Amino acid sequence: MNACYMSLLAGIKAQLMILLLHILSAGPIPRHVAFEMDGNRRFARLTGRRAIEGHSDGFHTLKRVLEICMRLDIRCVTVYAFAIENFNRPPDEVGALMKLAEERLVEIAQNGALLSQYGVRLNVLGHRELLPMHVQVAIDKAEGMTRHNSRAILNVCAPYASRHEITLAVQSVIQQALDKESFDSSSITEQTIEENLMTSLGGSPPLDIFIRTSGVKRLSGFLQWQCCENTQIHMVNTYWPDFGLWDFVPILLDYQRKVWARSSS
Amino acid sequence: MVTSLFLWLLHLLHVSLVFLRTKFQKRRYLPPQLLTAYRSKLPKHLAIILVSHHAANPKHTEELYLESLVRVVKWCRALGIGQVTAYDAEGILLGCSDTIQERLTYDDDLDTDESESELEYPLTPPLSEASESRSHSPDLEDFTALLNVTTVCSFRKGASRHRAREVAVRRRAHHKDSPLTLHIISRSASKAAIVSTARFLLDEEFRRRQNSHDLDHVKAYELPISELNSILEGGLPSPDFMIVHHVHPQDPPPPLELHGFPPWQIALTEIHRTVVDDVARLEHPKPSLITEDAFCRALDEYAGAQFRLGR
Repeated sequence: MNACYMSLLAGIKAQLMILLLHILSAGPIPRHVAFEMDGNRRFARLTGRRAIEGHSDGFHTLKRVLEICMRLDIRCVTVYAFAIENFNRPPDEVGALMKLAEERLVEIAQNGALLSQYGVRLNVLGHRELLPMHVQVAIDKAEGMTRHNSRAILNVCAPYASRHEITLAVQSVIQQALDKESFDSSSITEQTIEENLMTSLGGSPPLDIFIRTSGVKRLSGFLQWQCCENTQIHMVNTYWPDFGLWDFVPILLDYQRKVWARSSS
Repeated sequence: MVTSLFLWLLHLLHVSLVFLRTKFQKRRYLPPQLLTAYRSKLPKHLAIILVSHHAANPKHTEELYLESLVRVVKWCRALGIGQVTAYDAEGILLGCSDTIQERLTYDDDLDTDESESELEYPLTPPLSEASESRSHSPDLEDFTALLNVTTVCSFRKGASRHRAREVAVRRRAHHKDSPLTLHIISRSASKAAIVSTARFLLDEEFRRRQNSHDLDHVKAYELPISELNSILEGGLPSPDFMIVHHVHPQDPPPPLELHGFPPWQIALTEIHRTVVDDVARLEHPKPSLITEDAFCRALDEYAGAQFRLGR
């Protein structure tokens, strides 16, 4: 009886969520939202568990939030999964994170799973050569499985640092100008550098909303070029595994007010 | 149509909840610590982003920005914060940098009756340390001027005239005459500075290949992060802490934005936005200078921040 009641409650909750998302979709929807998924370890510590369990909870939240984004028709989601500096963490935690990435990326990219269900193409962005070979192989496999998906994009930044991304973009535009041999430095503009960022090369539109969880009020090397202009930045106190509609809906409502204000001015 | 109505109701509910939460927070208002109270850490380099409403009167906005900046500089000097960067996207502060110099000199004279201080504009921003990978041409010194950073230094008369960076590093005394380096920037020092740097590096590489007798022009061009960093931070160092202040506060306040602040320099910058605490001001929004309370609250928040640096 209790199980029936819980199941009924879960069903009603799911329907209410779908209704709420449908109502939100009547207004402007952001094209590109980024999540700095911070607070997994602190969340685990709150309940006396190990850091890697917090990361596992964080992955489930990622799937849940991604599904919300897809239902809202947000065409591009970028998440900060692993910073280049995170290699400084204890080796067993880094090893466990690598194993989590290897298994989960392939899991969500498989036929019938989340990414194929919503037509999402997976791009893993960052300094891939720093990753262990077995993780690189898994990434290639997961990206290959979703290469023909065209409805939406999921960028997983790992291992990533914004200065590395900007430097590579500057390096690319310089190389392109050298290749032309006509030597025209005016060909280097803000737009050409932006087009050579990893996010742009993967087809991502400009960033509308940047969200960092766990109460930290820094970018910590995530999407610095992309978010420094015309991007609404939200630093929420909730730890990432707890992030949900209760945190996300007010952020989306703020975005809608901005778009309406802009169109009326 | 029905869905749009429900969306409108949702927005009304959200605005009402935000309003009630704001009122509740005002009731529980706790004043920040005093300016000179002990804080476990203070920023060495503080940035202030000044934002106004796009329809505001430009002359009035300039006055608000100028007064807010003078206040911030005064408080930073009192605390021994050695570097301040002042940013506004439109370049209003850059346009009145002479007035800023006069105001800071005037305030210097008022504050320090016995000692005299001078203001100096270096011709170019402080130069970076030598690049780790390749040496740059003598044009680098001229080039850094193109990064569009105006730097104003304040130091005591009679001190040796070192370059701005050396003065700021050498003297960090926590008293009101502390020297302070002020960088004034606008959007022209932001992504545009990275573009200028890329063009400069292209020039250099092209000249190098033309002068080189080796066949290394077939090698791909490589740019180390450290090299790009030394150029960009040579023009504008990274601030530890950033305060975003709207001189025309809105109710409810819009979400935080960075208004085009230089992207390279904000990797690890702690970000704070001032809020309007005064209930009366909320009910009748009017232009707002940054208050000492708001500044102290920002510093309290900075002192409480934790830096894990990836670990």
